[in-house]
Parts: sequence; structure tokens; C-alpha cells
Amino acid sequence: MADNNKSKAADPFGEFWGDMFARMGAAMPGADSSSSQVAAKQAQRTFFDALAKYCDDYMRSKPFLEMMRRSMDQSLQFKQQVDQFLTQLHRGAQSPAKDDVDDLSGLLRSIEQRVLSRLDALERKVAAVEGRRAAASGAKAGASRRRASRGAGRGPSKNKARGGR
Amino acid sequence: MTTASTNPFQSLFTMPQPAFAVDFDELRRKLAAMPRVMDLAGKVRVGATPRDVIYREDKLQVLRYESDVPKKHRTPLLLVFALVNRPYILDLLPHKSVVQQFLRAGFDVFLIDWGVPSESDKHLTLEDYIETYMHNVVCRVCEFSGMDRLSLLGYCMGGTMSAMYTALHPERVKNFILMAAPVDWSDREALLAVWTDTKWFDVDKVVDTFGNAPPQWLQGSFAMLKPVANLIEKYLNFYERIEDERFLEEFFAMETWVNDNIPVAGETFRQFVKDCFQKNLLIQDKLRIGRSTVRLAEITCPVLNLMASGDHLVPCGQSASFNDHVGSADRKSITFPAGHIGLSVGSRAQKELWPSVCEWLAARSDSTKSRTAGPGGKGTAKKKLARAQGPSRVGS
Repeated sequence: MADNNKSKAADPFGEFWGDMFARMGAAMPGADSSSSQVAAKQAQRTFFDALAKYCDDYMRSKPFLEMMRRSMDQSLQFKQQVDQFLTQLHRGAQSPAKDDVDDLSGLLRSIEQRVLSRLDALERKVAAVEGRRAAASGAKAGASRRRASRGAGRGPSKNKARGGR
Repeated sequence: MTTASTNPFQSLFTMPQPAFAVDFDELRRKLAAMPRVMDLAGKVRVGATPRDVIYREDKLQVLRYESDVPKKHRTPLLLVFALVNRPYILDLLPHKSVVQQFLRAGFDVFLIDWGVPSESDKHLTLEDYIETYMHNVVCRVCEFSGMDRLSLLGYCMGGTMSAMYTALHPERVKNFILMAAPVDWSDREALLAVWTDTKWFDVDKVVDTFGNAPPQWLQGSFAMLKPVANLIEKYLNFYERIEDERFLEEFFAMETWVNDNIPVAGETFRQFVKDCFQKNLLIQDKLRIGRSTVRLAEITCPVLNLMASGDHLVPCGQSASFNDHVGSADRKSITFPAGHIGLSVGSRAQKELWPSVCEWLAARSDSTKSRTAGPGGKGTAKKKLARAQGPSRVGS
């Protein structure tokens, strides 16, 4: 049993092709020439379905994932080396390099963040001040309404005050 | 499976030979069709529904679609697509257009075109996209329509971002439609979830090296999710149907979109992969956007969750639990037999799904009645906002 499992793992291609052709053969028992087009379509469908499943299984397997990670690491490393070389070239020619532009845009970004944070803080303070003023003018209006209702006499009407704008 | 005694290769020689004979007449016909094919390829027009740009901010544009159909609903509808591809997939062709479906149903339709990020945009974060760009867009659309709230439809990553926005600003969203959008990455069955696992994918290295996520790398990765369908079957099917002009129009439109990938802003990509794909913070109510924590229970508006049963990119398992986490009383799910893109452009979806989505939304939108909504129109904004504070109680 252990030997069978080892040979299966060692020969996934053989297992796939063997299984695929067996399915194709089983799908077309004694097909005649009049249904050959249909048979061909079925064979094609079966083949592609089997191939798609195999590819999906393979792309989830540990060997593939490790290969994917390694190739990505190598590509990134190569890109970094190229970038470093080009940066040195630019610096040698005393022209701005990509790193310099990145640093500048990073600096602008952090300045923007600081300015926006300060504006947010100021906006909150203004909102708090406006809220206190609204509460105060609301309290004043309430007091004057109470005085008027106690029969203080007619005067210029200022009873339309509402809170807010 | 084959038994040990059967030679599997024997069956190859017993297959009917005419099945594999080349039909030279057919080949000649198809070759003769090539000039017409080239002509059609040059004439393909995507995203052709007339529209105006009503708002611009940095590279972003907001499009308002025009239609001869009178507006029946005052509540505007804003469509939000992913950052990875161009949004005209929602308006691919006149007969394959989600935009047209809503326009015919009498909605005022807007769409965010995020634009193409450049190197200088690599510092943009999810907070910039959601709390700045999306919020400004929503405010502008509401102001334009004279309404305090709008309906929001988010597709794919745009749906995830729209869910975050709705949770952070529930007072702005009247109805929310989630379309093939991942919100719960605990289901690790999808191939993309396997590839983005921390064991195999270091997103920091990619972003630190490239800045923005490169479009060619993204496109290649998506194509490799279904290599047989995308690299073999697609072209065989093209050969077989090369004389069908309708098919060619749709094929070239689709190819235009598929090959129109754009980069994703680096910091957004980093945050999305780490916080969503890898740590799955959104569904756990632990995702931070700026100073705020996104809590899906804050979503109390009517919710419609559209999923595609054949979606290999966003399997249903990544969307289904959304309805269990929102605070809405009115929530509905529809699982439609289609793929990720077929959900919007598939013929069956256009015939069966979208009319029912339009009905769902129409029942939950303010109607125009005797007044027609126009640009800069003022409604009874404060009263509507005061009424809109509580959760919806409309039955589905």
C-alpha cells in the first residue's frame, strides 16, 4: 500500500493521462461515423474537464506553492537589484532617481496628513464652540419667553429665536 | 479510474477516426471570415451608454448616465466597482448592461470611475478611498439629486468597500446591494485564498518593490485561476464561432475589458490583502479604517446579497455570511447560476436576475410622483433624514 502511494505521488502525470484516456474510451463505446462529431465533442469536453481539475489540484499542491513563492522572491530580488543599479546610475549622473521622487511624494503625503489632522481638530473645536453658543442662545431665548409669559408686557417680538443657524 | 489490467492508451486507437479528420470546407469558411473578424475587432465599443461627468476628484470621476426613460425613483443609485479593473463591465454592451437595466427601470444611475493610479498614488490607503473619495462622492450625488440618502451597489472588491462605507456611514445609504463581493475569508477553498496565504505570499515584499500592484501580474494571476478555460477553451470556442457576428462582438468587448487591468494603489493593496484576505478582520468587526472600526451590525438599511454559484473568484462562502452579520431587518440573498463576471454580463442574468433586482430596489426607493428629480433639485431633505434614522421595517 505504501509503495502504491509512493508510486502515485512520484508519477502524477502518468496517473492523470491514464485516467483521462480511460474516461475517453468509456465515453465512446462503439460510436459510429454518423455520431463522430458528437463523440469528438464529448471527448474534448472530458479532456478539458480532466485537465482543468488536474491543473487546479496541482496549483494547490505544496510543490507548486513553494515554486510560486520562490519564483516570486527571485523576481522581486531581481527587480530590486535593477532598481538599485538604476538609482546609482542616476545618482552618478546627478539626476533625480525614482527613490528621490518616492521620498518626495512620501514627504508631501505626510505633510498633507498633518495638515488635515490639524484641520480636523480645528473643525471639532469650532463645532464645540458653535454648540455651546447655540445652547447659550437657546437658554436665553427660553428665559425671555418665560418672562414674556409671566405678563411682562408687550415689547418688540424676539420670540423667533431657534437654536442653530 | 482505470483497473490495473486495462491499457488506457488502447482506447485511443479504437476511437472513430473520422472524429479527428480535419473538415477543410469548414476551415476554408472560417479563414474567409477573417477580414470581417478584423473589421469587427476594430469597431468594438464598450461602455457606450451616454453619460456626463458630474464630479471629479484627483483621478476619480463620477458618471451620471442619461436615458430617455423618465425617472420613476428619486433615490439615486450609485454603482461602485473594484479597484482592479475598469468599471465599464457594468455597461459592457447595450444588451449586456446593468446600467441599462436600472435606467430602463427608471432609476437615476451614477457610477464611480476610480481612474488609473499612478506612482504618486501608491500611498493611498483604504481610508482615503472610503472615508475621503467615497464619502465625497456620496455627498455630491446626494446633493446633485436633492436627496439625503442613496442606494449603493458594490461589485466585487467595490462591494467590500461599499460594505465598509455603509457600516461607517449608515445615515447616507438607503438601500445596499452587495454583488459577488467577498466579506468573509474564513472559507479557504478558493484558489485565490490558497495563493494569498501568509505561508506563500508576502504582500509587503511586492508592495515595497513595485509600489502599486502591477496590472500585468494581477491579470496573469486571475487568468491562471482557470488556465484551461482562459488559455485553451476560450480560443477553441472563438474558432468554432468565428462566423457568428453577435458572438464576435461580445467576445471582443469582453477581451477589451479583460485586458484593461489597472494597477492597485500599493498601500490599499497591502491593507486589503493583510486585513481582509489573510487576517479576515472585516467579518470579525476588527477592521480599522482610519480612526473607526468597521462593524457590519451598523448596517441597518435593506440589504440584497447577490452571489454567483459558479464564481471561482469569490465563492458563495465568502459572501453568504454577510446577511447574518448586518443589523438590517430587511435582508435577502439571491444565488444565481453564473460566474463572477457572468453575474453582470451573462445573457441569463440580464434576462432573469436584473429585472428582479430592479423590482426589489424600486419597492424601497422614493418615487418621483408628480415632481421630477433634476440636477440641483431640493427635496424635503431634513424631514427625510429625520425619518430615515431608524432601521427599515419593509418586508422583503
